[in-house]
Amino acid sequence: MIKKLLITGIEPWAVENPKNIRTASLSVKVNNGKTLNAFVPNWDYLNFEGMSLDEIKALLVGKTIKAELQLYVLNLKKISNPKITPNVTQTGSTTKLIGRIINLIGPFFYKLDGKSTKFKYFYSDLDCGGTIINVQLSESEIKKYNLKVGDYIEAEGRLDIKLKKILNDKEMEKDKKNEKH
Amino acid sequence: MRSKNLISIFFAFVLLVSIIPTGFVTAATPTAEQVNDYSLEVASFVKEKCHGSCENVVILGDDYVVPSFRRDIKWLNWYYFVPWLQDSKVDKILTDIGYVQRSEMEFSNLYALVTKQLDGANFEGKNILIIVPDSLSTEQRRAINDLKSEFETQFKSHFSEKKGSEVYCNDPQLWNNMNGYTLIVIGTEENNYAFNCFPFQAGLENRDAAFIDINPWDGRNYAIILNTNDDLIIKIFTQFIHDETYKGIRSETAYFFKIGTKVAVYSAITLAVLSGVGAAAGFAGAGALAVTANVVNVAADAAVVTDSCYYDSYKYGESWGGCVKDAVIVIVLPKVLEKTTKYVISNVLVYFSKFGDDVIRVFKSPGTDSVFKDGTRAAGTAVLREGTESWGWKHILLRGHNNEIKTAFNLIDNDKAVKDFIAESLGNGIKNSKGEIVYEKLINGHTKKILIIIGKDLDKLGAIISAYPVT
Repeated sequence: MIKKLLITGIEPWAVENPKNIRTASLSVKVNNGKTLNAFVPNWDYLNFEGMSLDEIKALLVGKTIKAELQLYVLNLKKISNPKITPNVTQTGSTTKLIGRIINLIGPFFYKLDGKSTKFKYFYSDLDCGGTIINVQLSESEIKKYNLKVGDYIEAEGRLDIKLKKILNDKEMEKDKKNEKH
Repeated sequence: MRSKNLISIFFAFVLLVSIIPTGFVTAATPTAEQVNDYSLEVASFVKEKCHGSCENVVILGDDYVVPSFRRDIKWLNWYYFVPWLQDSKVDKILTDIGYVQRSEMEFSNLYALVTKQLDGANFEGKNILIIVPDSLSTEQRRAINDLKSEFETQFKSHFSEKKGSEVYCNDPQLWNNMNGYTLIVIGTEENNYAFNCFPFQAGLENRDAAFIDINPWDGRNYAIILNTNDDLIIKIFTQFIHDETYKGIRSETAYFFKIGTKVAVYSAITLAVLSGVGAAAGFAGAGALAVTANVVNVAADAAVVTDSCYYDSYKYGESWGGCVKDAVIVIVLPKVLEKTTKYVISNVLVYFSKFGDDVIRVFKSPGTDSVFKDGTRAAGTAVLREGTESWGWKHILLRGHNNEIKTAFNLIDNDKAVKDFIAESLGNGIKNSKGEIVYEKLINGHTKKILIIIGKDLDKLGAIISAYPVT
């Protein structure tokens, strides 16, 4: 689910030289006021090569973006106790979440070398206490845990941010007005 | 059977002489070194044909046909009418010592070589005569004393010591004095005249190596020859004894390459490269071997190789391999290392040392080029370097990308598995428009993808900046 997020900071991760940051993590404020750090896996495609951190900060910090938060899942399990409060916690570069499945979109077919395989996957949005985070679930995982909308899952992994659009000043102004109303 | 062998050797000689490279023997004035090279080649050929079964070797032809080994020998002169007077002089002699059939004894037999078995598990150490240079540094002396102590502990050896300047190959007294002794000869031909009696093991091309050969003064006992002035090499040899590494060495030679403090990296690579070099050195050019990506691709993981030994029994049907100890790589081959091979190994060491002190591993990577410290490029390679928290292996660990890769691709829980997977990815991945390497793999019904970011700056060209799984 693409959401509007406010960038509050940037932390370079992989840096070839001060003018060539190769990967970075963004601090973003989500709807409920919570700030999360999310890795940008496709940073190179933002074409910031030749720009210093300060120059990039000037371009991004304080800007509203349209983006999707996605957990690159390393560990996943279904939770049978629905009383557990959904939330997101972060330690270093690891994010842990407990979320309720609010939708399952798919199936899509995995591709390998550009060709479709017989293996299917689904996109699922998880409500983690007001923060919506997307995970990609394979058909085998869905079958294994018998997952359906409304179920709670616990997952741990790397929180990625997939930038779709940086809003320009006009769009941001319009956005603010809409919020007031 | 023996006469059959002799006949076959004779014909083999005739064949060999008929195919002598024209550029060599027809040279108007071949140097002593050239002649010696050729002489040793012929000697190796004879040895090979004999398979240890020749009692005598008959050489037909004079020095023009089958060249004798040239050696500066320190001679002892006696005076017939005044036998108590003697003096010595250094002179060049032509010797057939190279053709004398030599030991097939291996380091793995060291125990049998220096001990006498009594009843049951009991044994007693043999007498060992250690021949050392007249002048030794404090470090050399300490290393030699440690070596002696180790022999005393392990093999109950009894030591006596002789100075190198007191040894003459032609001294009849030595036939008595050295009879019944196992020898340990340490030094070089410059500071220990005993090396004159070991032409196969003497010389710069055999420097920093250990050998086993027959004690030339007593055909029933053996000599352990350490052609080195380096106390570190002696220490490493002592370690060989201490940790019983010698038991795995089915060879009469062990070559030691000192390669500085970053042993793990270069020696790991060299050991791995050796698998290519050992098999191919006889056929391929040194330069070609030293710079091919195929060679570097076999580079093993430094952390695994360090302080461990490689033995491989299938390369020659005999043991080859090596060990890494402290700042020395020990390379073992089933025969005396040919000059070409040693040259190749040395070149390979130089080649890799050019990459930089923080190299962890060099990968075959058709999509990328990497760069040496001196600016030259190695096509089709990528390098994993230690780096910092912002790039390289340290960065991959700090940001947890190693764990992500392990989990995503269902790897064994160790760093070597991650590096091996990076190798697989670089070898099979596709270079995208940003110069990154992308590799996809089907894991348990998921298509998993890894992205490897490669350095573009000249000082990091081909270096892995980061690597992580992506959706």
